[in-house]
Amino acid sequence: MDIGSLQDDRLKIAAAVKEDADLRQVADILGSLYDITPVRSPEELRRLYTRGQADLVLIDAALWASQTLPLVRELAERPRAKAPIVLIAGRRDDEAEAAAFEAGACDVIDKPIRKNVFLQRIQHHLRLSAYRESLTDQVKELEDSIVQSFAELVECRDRNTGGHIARTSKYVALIGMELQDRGQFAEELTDGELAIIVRAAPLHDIGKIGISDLILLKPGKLDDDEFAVMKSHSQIGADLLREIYRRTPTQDYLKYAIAIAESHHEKFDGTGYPNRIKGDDIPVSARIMAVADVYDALVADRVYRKAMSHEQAYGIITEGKGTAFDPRVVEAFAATADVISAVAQKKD
Amino acid sequence: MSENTNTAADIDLKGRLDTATSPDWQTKILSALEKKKNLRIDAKELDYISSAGLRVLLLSHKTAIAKGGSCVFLNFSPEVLQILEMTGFTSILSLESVAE
Repeated sequence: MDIGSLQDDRLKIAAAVKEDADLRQVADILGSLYDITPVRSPEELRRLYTRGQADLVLIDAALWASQTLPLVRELAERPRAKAPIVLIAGRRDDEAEAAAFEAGACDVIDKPIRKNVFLQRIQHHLRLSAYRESLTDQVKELEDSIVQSFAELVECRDRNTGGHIARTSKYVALIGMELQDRGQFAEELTDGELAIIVRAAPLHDIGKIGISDLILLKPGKLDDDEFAVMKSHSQIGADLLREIYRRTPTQDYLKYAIAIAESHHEKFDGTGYPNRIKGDDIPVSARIMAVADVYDALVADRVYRKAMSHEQAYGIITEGKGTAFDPRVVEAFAATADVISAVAQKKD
Repeated sequence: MSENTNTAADIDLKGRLDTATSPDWQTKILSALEKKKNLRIDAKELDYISSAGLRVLLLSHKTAIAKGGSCVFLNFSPEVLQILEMTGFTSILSLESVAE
């Protein structure tokens, strides 16, 4: 496992240090192993941090005085916070040190800087950070892989053209981002939540696992009784996911998966299923999935009809504004339809 | 400036590609495509991309292809790359990253 998979293989340390003499000292100690980038302003530090251009941040507490801890907190609280933040303190002050840790610093180093210890501590933090990042990535990949695998297993029973799950997840992401651009559903569609919704989206049809092949694979249209059975996949999926969530309540994306599985066939005017809920009672994630799901179904070949064109599908979706679908979601879909169509046409 | 690739980028994306900034960037990219059909766009300093920004990227890509050329994007940050993966753009755009 490599710790530094960056351009030059040397890790980058952003150093916000007050005195030039101190900066020279830091460069002396660390410069042979790491690339030291001097930082003069909080803005510059933010930029480096958010662009992932620093593997570790050194901040001299004397440099920005009272602005330091709020800045540390801000950086440490970023959802993709990666680089450890190390403070250099002028003198020992237990309260200030505790406050620094509480704000998110991972270490406080007192002056005068002791060369060997300083180097060891920095190396230690970089190693830990790399392990943690690698582990977090692996776990996330594993989770996504499991979710995706289960969803695809169910999909392949269905014998729909493969890719429905991958495509609808992307449409959900695109429509969601457009809604963000329009300031719609700001509370429910933060960046973090949209990402989780997209992760949960593959599970929307998992309930189909409980539907008999006779119905699932029927080559013609379903009669009323058969359709009633088919409709139960929403409830089956939701119940299944609820049970899993009960067992593993730490998996937040399951909450969204339940909402999407249960309500993605509900209609904005209350004429959907399984619960005939309407309007704002339908979770936003499900309202978005409803459009994504129908669009993909329309532009795909089905056993009983050929695929429709993008324009035809677009027309049907927009006709459903306010009745089948939330008008805001339809508008976002319309604004991003070109992109959705491009994604739809990608066959991988 | 990318030191490891053979040619410097034609356009350096900077800052945000969102509703406010997209029109200008779109103009810039499309003008560049009028003069040169193979464009290289460096996204090293692109901090953030929104839905509007994605449309600009797609349009740039499609315009270049329509001219029989190419539009290669370089050096997206991990955060922006995540958005591109989430939306399926990594399969649509031509991407190049600096050699590891």
